[in-house]
Amino acid sequence: MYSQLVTNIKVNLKFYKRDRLLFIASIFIICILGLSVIPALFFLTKTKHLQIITTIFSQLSKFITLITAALGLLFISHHIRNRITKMVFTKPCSPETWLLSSFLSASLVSLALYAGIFSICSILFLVWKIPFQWGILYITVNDFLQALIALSYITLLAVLFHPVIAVLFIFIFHDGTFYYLKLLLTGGIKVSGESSLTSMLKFAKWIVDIIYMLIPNGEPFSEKMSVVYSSLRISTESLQYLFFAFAYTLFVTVFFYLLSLYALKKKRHI
Amino acid sequence: MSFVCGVKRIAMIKAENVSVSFKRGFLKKRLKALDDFSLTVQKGDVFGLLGPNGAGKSTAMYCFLGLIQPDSGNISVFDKKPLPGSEFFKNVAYLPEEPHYHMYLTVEEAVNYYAALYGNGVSRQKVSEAIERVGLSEFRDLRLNKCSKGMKQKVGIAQCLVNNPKIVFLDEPTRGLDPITVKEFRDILIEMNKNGATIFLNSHVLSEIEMICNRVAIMNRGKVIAQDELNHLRSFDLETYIVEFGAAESLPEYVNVKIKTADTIKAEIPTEKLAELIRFIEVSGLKMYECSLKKVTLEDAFFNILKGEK
Repeated sequence: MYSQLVTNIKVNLKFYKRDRLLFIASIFIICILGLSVIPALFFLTKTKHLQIITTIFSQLSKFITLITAALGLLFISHHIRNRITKMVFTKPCSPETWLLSSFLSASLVSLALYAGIFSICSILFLVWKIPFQWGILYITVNDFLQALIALSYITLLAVLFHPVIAVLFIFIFHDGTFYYLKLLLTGGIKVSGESSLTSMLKFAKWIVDIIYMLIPNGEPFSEKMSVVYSSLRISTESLQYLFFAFAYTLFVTVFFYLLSLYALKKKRHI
Repeated sequence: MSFVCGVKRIAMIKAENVSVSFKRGFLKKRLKALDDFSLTVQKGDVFGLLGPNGAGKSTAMYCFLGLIQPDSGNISVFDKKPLPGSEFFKNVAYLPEEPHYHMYLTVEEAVNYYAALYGNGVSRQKVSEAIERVGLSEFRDLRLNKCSKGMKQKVGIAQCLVNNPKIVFLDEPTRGLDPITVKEFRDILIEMNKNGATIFLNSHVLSEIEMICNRVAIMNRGKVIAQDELNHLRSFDLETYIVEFGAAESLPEYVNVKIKTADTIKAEIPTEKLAELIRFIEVSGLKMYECSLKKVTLEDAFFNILKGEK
């Protein structure tokens, strides 16, 4: 299995390298982000260098999360929709190995990109002679974990749906939507008092609660970690939450991997 | 297991009462692709599956490859239920009908990749030899999305050669190939069969089946309607003679002219009229060039069986 995994990862990386859509999308996103970051480099004063570093980091991090999700979506969709999986599954290469290789190769690219922006930020610390803040490593790790959560969710959607539907689905079915709905329904239940509408609202909230639990949280423990994001300073408590985020990511990726695998095995690869 | 002339025959591929249906359209109407489909392919056979479009040939092959799980009935290959990506594929090669390959890879990368999926047993040299065998050596660095249809088909053939398979599944194998490559491909198949491989192929090209298969099954509407040795299907028609003789102005009415040129006539006649025709030719002072029992071709058998089915 190990050698097949490595073989598949190598081929997947070639797909990323040679896919024109992915290349154009990357250039487009880089240009958009560049337009928002570059002016900051010229107009902010020296005292705000730390702010520039965090701005660059957060913008590039958004780009990497998008790219990581796109890698997963495009790879899975391309192979399933073009029936290429037929050539893989008629060899002694199991769907488990193939799906894992797809996830690992996108994760590897994501990891390399995060390592890249961490290096850029570290160099800026040196160039601008600012004391290095370990918080930048902390948020790099946390953002990488968040990218993995997005990747595992989109992998399942890519197995189930057409890529366009998968993207639309993720826009609607994400934790933010259901968190907002929860707040709305809680408020609604309070306002409605004891009227007949209350039981309906309670039932709706129950449904929303279940969906909210099932949909992965894209930014777990974000409130608890916000201090690190703003100050780049790490405390023992914040490290604890990073560990929790790691455990949550592990759980979500394994859960969605198994769901994707089940869906993949149910498909007719013809 | 069966015995033919005292020789032990092992069933390599077996389908028993298999039914497969697809849901089609907005209303998810069920469409039966295989209906009580049963088939046995013995070890060492070169087995041809024939049938009109939509008969279910490809669906049957997908079942044997584990790509479709039947709604009912049993499928076994090497006495095992085929499952996607399982270990049993170590001894199987498959050439798909449509070139569903990794188009972003080059010819060499693709064959190397497919070979690597078989595990560590396939060397780079073997891959190189396979590419050379199908005549793609000079295109080894060309991406598959830039290759012609025939070249893609050759890549498919090359990847079938890398693992010394015990069973080869071929879905319309000569589609898009030039006559020279078809001949080479046929030779490759015969060689693989001599080395012990069982070959199972779907094809519309009856002449191709006729040239390499020893057993044939004919399918229609998801069912096997005939399954036999090719020689049994393609026997002689004892009721009819084919005769070719010098052209004459008037002919007896029992002569069914098939081809008429300025010098010769090729015709079919009932066996009981043969002596009469020979006398007529002698009396008319004509020359006879050919006189033989009519051979039933696979095409004749195919159409007769389908006609009988209707």
